[in-house]
Amino acid sequence: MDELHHDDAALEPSMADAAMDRYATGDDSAFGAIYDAVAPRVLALAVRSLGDRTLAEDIVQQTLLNIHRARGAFVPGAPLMPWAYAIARRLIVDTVRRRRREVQLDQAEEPPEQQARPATPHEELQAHQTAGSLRLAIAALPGPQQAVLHLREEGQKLSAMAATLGTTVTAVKLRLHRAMASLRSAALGPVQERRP
Amino acid sequence: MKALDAAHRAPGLAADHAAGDAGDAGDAGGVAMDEMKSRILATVTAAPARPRAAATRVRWLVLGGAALAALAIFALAGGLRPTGRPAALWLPTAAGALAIAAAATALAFRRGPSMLGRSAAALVGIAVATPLLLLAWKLGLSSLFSEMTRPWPGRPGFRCLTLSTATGVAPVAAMLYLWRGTAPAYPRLTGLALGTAGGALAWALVDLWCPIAHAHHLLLGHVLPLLAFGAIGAAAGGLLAARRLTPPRLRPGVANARPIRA
Repeated sequence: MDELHHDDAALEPSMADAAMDRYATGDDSAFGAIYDAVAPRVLALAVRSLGDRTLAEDIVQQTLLNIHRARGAFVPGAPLMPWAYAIARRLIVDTVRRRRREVQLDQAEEPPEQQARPATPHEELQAHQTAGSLRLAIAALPGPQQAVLHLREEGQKLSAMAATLGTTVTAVKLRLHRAMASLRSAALGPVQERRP
Repeated sequence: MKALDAAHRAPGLAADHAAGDAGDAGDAGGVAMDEMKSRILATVTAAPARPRAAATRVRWLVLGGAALAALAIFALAGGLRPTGRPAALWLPTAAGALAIAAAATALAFRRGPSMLGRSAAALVGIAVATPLLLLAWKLGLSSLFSEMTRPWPGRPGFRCLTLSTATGVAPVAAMLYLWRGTAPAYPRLTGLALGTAGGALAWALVDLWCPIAHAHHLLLGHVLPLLAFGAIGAAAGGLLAARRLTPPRLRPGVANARPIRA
């Protein structure tokens, strides 16, 4: 499997923008280049946000299908990736909400004694020490903060992140700060509470 | 999948903590990027979308149809009615209202340089400034003429409310329809701005019909429907957001025709 080689080889944004422009004007062969630019990045974002590769692949497909359906509305010269990320973020948020609803329904159907059973300290500690708990914390972050974390993982500079997300450097810094603060409190909160 | 796992273990908080489940899930049920690519290409081929030139034609057809519908309703209601207003009043009033409505529509409907649409501040600005400017223009200009802002006891504004609503429906619906599923950054605010712009176009038409410039009448018959269209646009803003799409039924024999999971 060479997903990350795909990621490394993902098209430069300007090439992706040009491919999208060609696709918008009717050049169907440009969709392959759009896929190469969008899919690895959106897949990485979705995997990190959802922690489920199958769902993440679904997000990639839905994102590309949305881009395809709206290709006639694509603004000439507009950057592709901020739009692709915006579509993906919306779909991820919808997926997270749907999963929460399903979890709530499952919990509502559980017998009361099962719902009332408190977690033992050991279980709680274990839960917070596993990668899963932080993944959940990341999934609970607002979409823009998740996107900033994801772009930071890609090693992008603040200015590039701002351009990709269609916002300002100040806003990126703020989102990054808030995201890290949320993750820090999610990771350290219970430990601090146990201190005498 | 080793590459994926390795990357997830790369330095960085998000990757570290997203890694485990993603990698495991990928091993269990993930499909290779190439397989996914061919599947998506097959899906896209099976459901062609309009390119820009065709989409532009459709856009003009829809907008033109909406404008015609609004004009037809306006004509059925009686069309232009100066009703005692001098041409020096109703002409500039209508021209100014039309200019404000056109500016609001251009700002709200056009995306600007990005597919994400206008900034939140710009969209809220359109929604707030448009009714204020229209009201100020109407009241300000009418107050320059004697007796033009007097109250009309028998005309509280319900007829204008009805006509504004009737003439505004088609433009608002058309603009929301043309923006559907294009994933602006702020779908609800974009809907709010589009609704307000459509309401402003209705205001410009009704302004040619209604001679009354009393504040109470204007608030009920002209401002209220404009605000209502804004609220409807905001409520319908979810239609503009990215949405889950049902993939087309692929033709038999198309490679990798596994449908997108719903």
